Amino acid sequence: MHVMEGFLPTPWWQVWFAISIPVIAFGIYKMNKLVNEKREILPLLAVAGAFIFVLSSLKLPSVTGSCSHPTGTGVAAIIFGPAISAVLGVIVLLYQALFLAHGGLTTLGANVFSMGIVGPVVAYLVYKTGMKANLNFYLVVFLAATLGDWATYVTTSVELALAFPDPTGGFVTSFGRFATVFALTQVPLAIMEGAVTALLFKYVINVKSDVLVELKVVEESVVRKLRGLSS
Amino acid sequence: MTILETRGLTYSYPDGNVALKDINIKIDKGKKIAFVGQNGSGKSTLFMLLNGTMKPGEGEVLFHDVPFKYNSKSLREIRKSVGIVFQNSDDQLFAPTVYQDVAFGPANLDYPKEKLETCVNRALEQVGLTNFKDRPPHHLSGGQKKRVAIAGVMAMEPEVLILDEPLSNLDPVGADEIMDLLNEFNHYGSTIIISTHDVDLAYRWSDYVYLMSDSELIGEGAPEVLFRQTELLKLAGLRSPSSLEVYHELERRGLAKGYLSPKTLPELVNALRPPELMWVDAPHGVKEDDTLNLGILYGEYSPNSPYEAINARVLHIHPDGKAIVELKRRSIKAGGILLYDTDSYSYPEILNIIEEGDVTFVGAMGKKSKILAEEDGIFLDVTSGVIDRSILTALCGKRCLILTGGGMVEHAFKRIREYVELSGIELNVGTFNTGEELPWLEVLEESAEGFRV
Amino acid sequence: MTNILDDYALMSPLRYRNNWLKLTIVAFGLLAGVSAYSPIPPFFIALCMSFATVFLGKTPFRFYLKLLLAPLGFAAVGVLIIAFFSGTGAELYSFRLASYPLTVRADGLELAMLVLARSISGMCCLYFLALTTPMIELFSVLKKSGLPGSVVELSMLIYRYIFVFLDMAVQIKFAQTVRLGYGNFKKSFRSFGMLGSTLFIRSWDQGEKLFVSMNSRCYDGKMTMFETRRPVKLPELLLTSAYFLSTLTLFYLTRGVSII
Repeated sequence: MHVMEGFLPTPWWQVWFAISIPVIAFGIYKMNKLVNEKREILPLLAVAGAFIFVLSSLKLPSVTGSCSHPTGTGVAAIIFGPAISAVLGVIVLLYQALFLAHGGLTTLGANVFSMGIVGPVVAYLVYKTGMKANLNFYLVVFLAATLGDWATYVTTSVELALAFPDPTGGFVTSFGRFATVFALTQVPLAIMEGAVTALLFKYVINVKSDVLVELKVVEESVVRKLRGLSS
Repeated sequence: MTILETRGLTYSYPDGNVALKDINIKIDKGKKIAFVGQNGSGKSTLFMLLNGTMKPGEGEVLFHDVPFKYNSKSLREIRKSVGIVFQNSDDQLFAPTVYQDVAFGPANLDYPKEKLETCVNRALEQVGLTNFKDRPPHHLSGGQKKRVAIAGVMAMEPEVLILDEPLSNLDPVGADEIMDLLNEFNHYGSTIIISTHDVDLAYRWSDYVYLMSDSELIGEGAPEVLFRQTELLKLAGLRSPSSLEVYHELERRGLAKGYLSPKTLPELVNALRPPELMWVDAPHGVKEDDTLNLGILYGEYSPNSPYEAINARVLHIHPDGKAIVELKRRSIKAGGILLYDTDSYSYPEILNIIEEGDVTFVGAMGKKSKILAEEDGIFLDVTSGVIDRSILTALCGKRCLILTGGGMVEHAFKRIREYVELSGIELNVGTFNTGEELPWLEVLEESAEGFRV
Repeated sequence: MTNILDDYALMSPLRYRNNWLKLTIVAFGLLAGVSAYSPIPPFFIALCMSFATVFLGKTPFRFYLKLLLAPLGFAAVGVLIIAFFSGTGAELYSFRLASYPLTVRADGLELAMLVLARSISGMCCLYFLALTTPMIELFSVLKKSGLPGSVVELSMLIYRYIFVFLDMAVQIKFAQTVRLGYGNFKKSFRSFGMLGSTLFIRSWDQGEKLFVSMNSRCYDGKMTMFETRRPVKLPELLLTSAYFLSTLTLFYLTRGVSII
């Protein structure tokens, strides 16, 4: 969920920039280290960023017929981890604002925090935990993507509630309101993106799993097990 | 002088499939080489081995007689001198603007700023895309993208230029432009290697051909020789070149002469056998083996030019006064071709030539010349295959003007001269403003009638 | 779908103006907008920016209107929540929704108007930038403003390949649609999954080819920037200054003004 341009007042939009920038700086540092080790990572990151942008510009199939787009945070986090997802996230969000009018420039900080940092971190943690617990791969992917998107939506609600607190109830009441209203669209959307992400990974495992193995996303043994199951 | 060589080159993919088996090739400097074979015969893999992208399983690749070393410094040297243009331009154009993409090579070769700008601008000018400098690649057509890709490699001033299926996805005009470009680069000394499954292209364009099939080299040689071996071509899953096929059919019917390998349309026309024997009225007292002067013939009796002076040797005299004679012909007028160098372009000058010289056929070669002609409203009768069409037109006695620039003037002049020598037909060819001979116009100035019979 | 805003920017006559000037105008508009205490300055900013985009930037008017409506969903929800729930003052309007009272109070409505105004002015500033300045011009700006080289390079490569992949996505989607891949929800779900995975695999392949391609031209970590020097012209400067001054004046004058 993108916060649109101009929605957050001073000083809030600066606050989120202040929080996000150090995290992104860390992401850049990690990325540079990785690129210096393995030169071929840079073109891969580039096509990954382009892929995430294009994916997020497609319309998700929906039961109600409403128009919604995937965020791509689940895919990015699982494949590249949270640090690099933050860097890719900044660039993709900038392009989304400038090319698709999703989000904005003053709200870039807030959107990066919710969609580029919190979302991927949660998705990544869920993914790693799930794999360690030896749960079914597709279930883990689904949960990682869905919970990642929920975390994003909750964070956005926090950002809005902080900027527009209730006169009597303060932050908490306001947060409750924003979260409840947006839940109507965001909760099912997250579930849909989770399902689509799991399906996406299923097709990739069946067709070109070496990509995922090479990037250390899944183990070879897991792939074989999954292939054995579905064939 | 061998510039690139492979010895016993073998390569297999990680999954075990053999891509190349024992390839031994020797590429000569400054030549035009074509690798011909079906899709999947191993051509692209070979190219990746020739620029160091892949390392051979067995065997070695040599550049200027030095084997490849696969450390980063040596690879850089190799890739500077051996440039590759990939089949799909989207794989090769990755910068946001045309300028930035062409500048990529020079920038990474650490050229200082001025040299970088010069190289990039020169490369863009050579491919005719100077006005597209700040366009993003997704606003370009397929042919334009291919030209940017070529410019990007040429900006690095390589000695060898390798192109993988350069004409795929190009329309005929685009394809002609690319081949003109490659010929120009070759004229200035670059060694050009292409891969193609288009036998006609390989046959008429290259100096030397390698035939590949199923990961192996099954034949090599000059195109005139190699493409006659129909069994080999069948093995490679290829057809014969069309002009050779037409020529064979003509030969079988006795309509063509000699053991020839015509590559272009003018050569094919030249191979047609004009009527050699004729019945004529024998003047009184003529015996066999005498020479008769038949005067000047025209029409179907002079296929090579509008008028021909014919001498005939009497072979047999028939009782009723007719003789069978064998003709020996000499053309006395053919048309002519004038080459105009557009590097010193002057519109009034051209108009003057067209009027005074009674030019009825105008062509332009090269992007620059075509643009100049278009801007000034000069009507072009032909823009592709210009040299061949002009020769054919001149054979019919007409006068042609070819507008072209730079190295292409010399190249065209050479080709037309070669045809004149090979065919024995007297075509007048001259260049206009490069200071060389102007026999045509001099004659013209003396007497306008002198040239008309 | 393949016509993203960047393509309009490439067609706009304003693309040939000085980039720093445009960025200053946009930054000023954004900052003034989100700092305003009354809805009037943002509306003024929105008007000026829209005028510049449509008349000077030659963006098609209908298209521009459609763009303004794009973030409507989010704006509507946010503004309504604020309108209904953020007030403490006099009641203006109330009704009951399933025994739950919903009241619009004066200052709540005011805040809602302010937020709406700020959002609209923000969007107009963003659109001005997006529709008059193609991304290829902004890369050198990014580099100059201190962003690390690797990030700028990454941005440039991502930019280029967005278009390659957009074309791929459109083609795949079309191929699926003509084979009835999006007939009902279940089919759409499966087709979308296939679309995503095919796109992913092809992106990966493209990445490998990109690496080979960059190496074949001796990639050493350098990509040139393309910049043209465009001096600021006097009329532009005057117009911009007039705009700044009037906005600031309006800002000062309407400090305490409320619409309600």
